[in-house]
Amino acid sequence: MILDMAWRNVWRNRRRTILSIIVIAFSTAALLLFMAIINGFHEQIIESSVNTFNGYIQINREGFFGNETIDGYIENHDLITQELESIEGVKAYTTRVVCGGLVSYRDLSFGAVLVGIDPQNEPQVTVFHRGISRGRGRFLLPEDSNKSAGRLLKMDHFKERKSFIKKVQEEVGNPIVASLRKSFSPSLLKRIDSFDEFIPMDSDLPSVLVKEMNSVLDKESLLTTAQLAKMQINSKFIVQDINNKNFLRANRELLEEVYPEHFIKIYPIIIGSKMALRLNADIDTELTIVLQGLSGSMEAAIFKVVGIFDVGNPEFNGGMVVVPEKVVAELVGYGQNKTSQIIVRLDYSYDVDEVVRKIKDKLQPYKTFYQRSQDTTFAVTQDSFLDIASFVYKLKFTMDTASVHIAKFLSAETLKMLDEYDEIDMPSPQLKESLIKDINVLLGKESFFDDKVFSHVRKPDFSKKSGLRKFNYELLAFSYNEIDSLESDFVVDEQFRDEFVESKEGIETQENFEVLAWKDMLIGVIQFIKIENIIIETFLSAIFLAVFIIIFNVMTMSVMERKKEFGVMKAIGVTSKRITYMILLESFFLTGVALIVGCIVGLAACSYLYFSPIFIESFVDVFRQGMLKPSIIAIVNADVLMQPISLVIFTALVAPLYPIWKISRMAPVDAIHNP
Amino acid sequence: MSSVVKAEKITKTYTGKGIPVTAVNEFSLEVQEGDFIAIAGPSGSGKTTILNMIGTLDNPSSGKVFIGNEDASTLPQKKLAELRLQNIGFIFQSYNLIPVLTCQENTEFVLLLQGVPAAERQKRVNEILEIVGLGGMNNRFPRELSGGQQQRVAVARAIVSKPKLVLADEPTANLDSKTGQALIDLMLQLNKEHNVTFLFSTHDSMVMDAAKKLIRLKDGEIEKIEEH
Ligand SMILES: Nc1ncnc2c1ncn2[C@@H]1O[C@H](COP(=O)(O)OP(=O)(O)OP(=O)(O)O)[C@@H](O)[C@H]1O
Ligand SMILES: [Mg+2]
Repeated sequence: MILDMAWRNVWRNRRRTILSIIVIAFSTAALLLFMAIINGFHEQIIESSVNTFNGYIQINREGFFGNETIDGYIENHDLITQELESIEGVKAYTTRVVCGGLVSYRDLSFGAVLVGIDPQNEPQVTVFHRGISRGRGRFLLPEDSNKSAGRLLKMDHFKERKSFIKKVQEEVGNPIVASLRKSFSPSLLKRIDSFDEFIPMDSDLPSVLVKEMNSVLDKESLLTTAQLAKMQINSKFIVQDINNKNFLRANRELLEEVYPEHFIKIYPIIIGSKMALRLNADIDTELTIVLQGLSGSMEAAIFKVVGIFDVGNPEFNGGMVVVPEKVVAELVGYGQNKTSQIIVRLDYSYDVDEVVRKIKDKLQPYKTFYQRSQDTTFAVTQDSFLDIASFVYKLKFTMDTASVHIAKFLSAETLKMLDEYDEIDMPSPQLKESLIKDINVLLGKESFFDDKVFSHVRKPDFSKKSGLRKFNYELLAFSYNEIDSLESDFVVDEQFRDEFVESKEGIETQENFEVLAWKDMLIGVIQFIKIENIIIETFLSAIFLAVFIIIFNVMTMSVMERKKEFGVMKAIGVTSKRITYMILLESFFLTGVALIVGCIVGLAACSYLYFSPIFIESFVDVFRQGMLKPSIIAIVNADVLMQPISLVIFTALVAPLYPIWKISRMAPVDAIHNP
Repeated sequence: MSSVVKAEKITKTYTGKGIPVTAVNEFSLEVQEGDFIAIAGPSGSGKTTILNMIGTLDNPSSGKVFIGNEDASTLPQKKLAELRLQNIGFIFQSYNLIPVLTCQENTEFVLLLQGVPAAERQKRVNEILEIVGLGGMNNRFPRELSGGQQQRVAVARAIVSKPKLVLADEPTANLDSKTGQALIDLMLQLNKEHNVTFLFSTHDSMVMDAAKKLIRLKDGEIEKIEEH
C-alpha cells in the first residue's frame, strides 16, 4: 500500500509533476546524447587505430615504438607468447614483422612500411581485415604464408634454361616429368631428347618448351585427375573438388616442386587504397619491394596484390603494405624465432593497465640466452669436456665475462699452467686436472659469479647456495659449450632439478621489452581525452545540479504541503522509517518516469546521430593526424547508458533527504496543527 | 474493570516568545474499559492539549501518562508509534483522512500496519464500513464524500483495529447538528454493543449530554466532573 500511496502521491499535483519530469527527462536525454557523442569519439579513435591496427597492447623490444627498425626484433617470441597464455585478460595475440621497404610498380616507387602478419591470428586481434570490405579483393589467408601466388611461366623465369632442359631430358622416371613429356609435341620431345648441351643457348628450344608448358597448364593439364589422386605426392595437392582452376594450380605447383629453380616466388600482398591510387595498381598487379635485410643485404621480392584495404586512416591507407609474416621474416633474415612485435588483444572486461602490468611482471626476468639444455648436472669431470684443449684455449684467450670471472678464482698454480700452455699440444693432464678441480671448487663453494653480480637478476634465489651454483654451471656450459650435459658422478635429486629448471627461466633478459597500452601509442589523442574529461565532468555536475534542484524543490514542496497528512500518519502509528521509505519511493517514481522518457528521447536522438553522423571540418589536430574521421557520431554502450541513469538515480536518493529529515523530526502534534 | 489509560497530574506549559502559558495544569484522569467520557470547556481551555498528551502525540511538561501499564514518557518515538498503532484510535476534528487512499484503504491502512492478513482485513473493513453506514462506498476517495461521511470513515479507521481507546477531538465540530447527532449515536452504539472505550472533547452541549461522564474544564483545570 505504501507503494500505491507513493505512486498516487506523485500524481497529486499533476502539472508540477509533469513539468519536472519534462525537465529531468530533457537533462537525461541531453546527458545521454552528450555521453554518446563523446563515446562516439572514443570508438572512432579505437576503431580507426587501436582495433584496426595498433592493438590494445604491444610488446616490443625497448625503443621499438617510434623507431621501427629491423634491428629491434624480439628473439624466441614463442617463450613470451607462452607466458601470455597464462595471463588473465589476454584474449588473443599475434606476432608481426615490421620493416621499411620501397614499393615499386612500373616506374613509380614509394617508401612504405611493410608489415608481415600472421593471417591466422591477426583477425583474432585486430579488425584490420574489415578494411578489405571497404576496398577490394581479399584478405591474406593462412595458406598465403606457404604458397606463392600462381602465374604462368615466362622465359625470364628460367635462370638456367640449359639445366632445366637437361632435367626434362633425363628425369623421365619422375612421374611429373613423364606426364609433362606426354603432353609435349613430338617435335619438342625430339629436340629435348637430342639436346646435347652443345646446342647454343640462343636456340629457340627454351622458349618453345616454355610455350608448350604454358599451354599445358592453361588448357589440358599436366596430370589428369586420376593420376593426381593416385600420386599423393603431397597431401596439399590432393584437391578435393578438382575444378579447372584448382587443377591448373595443382599442376603448376607440382611443376614448381620439381623445378623450383625455375619459378620466381610471388607472394600475395594487400595494400592500402591510397597506396593503390598512388601506384596506379589494382588487384593482380605485381609489385616489387626492395628492402634491407638484417645482415645489411638488399632483398627484393615480387608481390601480387590480392587485396586493397581502406581502414579509414590515411596513414595506413597510404603508407602500409601487408604481407604474410613468414615471407617478410624470411626476407629480412628473421627466420622462425625472431619477430618485431607481439600484439595482444584484451578481454573487454579487463583493465588495460592491469594486464600491461601483469605482462611486464612476466617478461622482466626473461633471458633468451638460457634456452639450452633442460637437464644438466652440476659437477664437472674431465669427461664433460668433449675437447678440453679448446676449453683451455678459450679460457686463456676469451675476454668474455665468464672467462674473466673464472680466471679470477683459479688457483695460482692453474693460472701459471694456463699461461704456459702453448696452444699446440694437448693440455697437460696436470693442467686439466687442476683446472677442473678449481672449477668444481668454484661451483661447489664460492661460485665465480657472486650474488652481487646478479643483483639485477630477479628470479633465482641466490640466497641459496645451490641456486648460484646452478646458475654458474649453466653460464659455464653456455660460454664453453664443450662442456656437455653428460652424466656425472653428481647425483641430482628431483627437487634439485626442479629448482634448477626454474632458475634457468628466471634470468633477466638481454632484451628489455616495452609493453605499451594503446593509450601509450596514441599520445596525441590522450591530451584530447583529458580535455574531454574536464568537459564531461563539468557537464555532469551541471546536470546533477539542475536535476538536484528540481527534485529538491518538488519533493520539499510536496512534502511540506502534506505536513498535516504525515502528522496523521504518525498519529495512527506509522513509523518515521516507513514515511522515509514512502517519500524516497515518490522521488524514485518521479525520476523513474523521467528517466524512461529521457532515455527514450535520448536514445532516439542518439540513433539519429548514429545512422547519420555529422561530418565536420578537420580543425582539430587529432583529425589531421588521421586518427579520427572528422565526424560527430553517437554511439551508445552500457557505460554511456549507465552514467546518466546512475547519476539521476543518485540524485533522486539524495535530493529528498532534506524534507525527509524535516518531517521525521516533527512531533505528530506539530505536524497536525501547523496549517 | 481495568485501566486503559491514566493521566497523572499532567501539565503543559508553552514557553513561546512571550510569557509562558500554562494550557493544562495538573490534570489527572483514569479511563476504564468501556468508558464514554467527554471533556468539555470553552475554546482555549486545554481540551486538545489533554487529548494529545493522553494520545502520546505530545509530551507533558510534567506528570505522567500511562498506556496500560507503560509509562509513555520513558518510551522512544518508534515505540510510541507502535503503542499508538496497537492501542489507540484517533478521530480528529477535521477528519484528516489520507486523500490518496479510498474509504476502504483509509480504513484498512491501520490493519495493514498491524500486519493483519488480507482476507481478515477485507472482512473487518467491510464490517466496520457497514456499521458506520458507509457500506458500498469502499472505493470512494475522501474528496468524493461529504464531511459527515468523511468523519464516519475517520471513525471507522479509528475503531477498525479494535483499539483499547478511541480519542476523538471535537468529532462533531465540523458537522451540522443532525449529522453530529448521528455520529454521537454511532459512537454510543459502538460503546454499548462493541464495548469501545471513548474519550472525546467537545463544546457542544448536545454531545455533552450523551456522555456518561463529563469533565468540565476551565483554563486548563478541572472545574467539575458530572456523572450521568
Ligand atoms: N503550540 C502552542 N503554543 C503556545 N500556546 C498554545 C499552543 N497550543 C495551544 N496553546 C495554548 O494552550 C491553550 C489551550 O489550547 P487548546 O488547543 O488545548 O484548547 P482547546 O480547548 O482545544 O480549544 P478549542 O476549543 O478552541 O479547540 C490555549 O490558550 C492555547 O492558546
Ligand atoms: Mg481544540
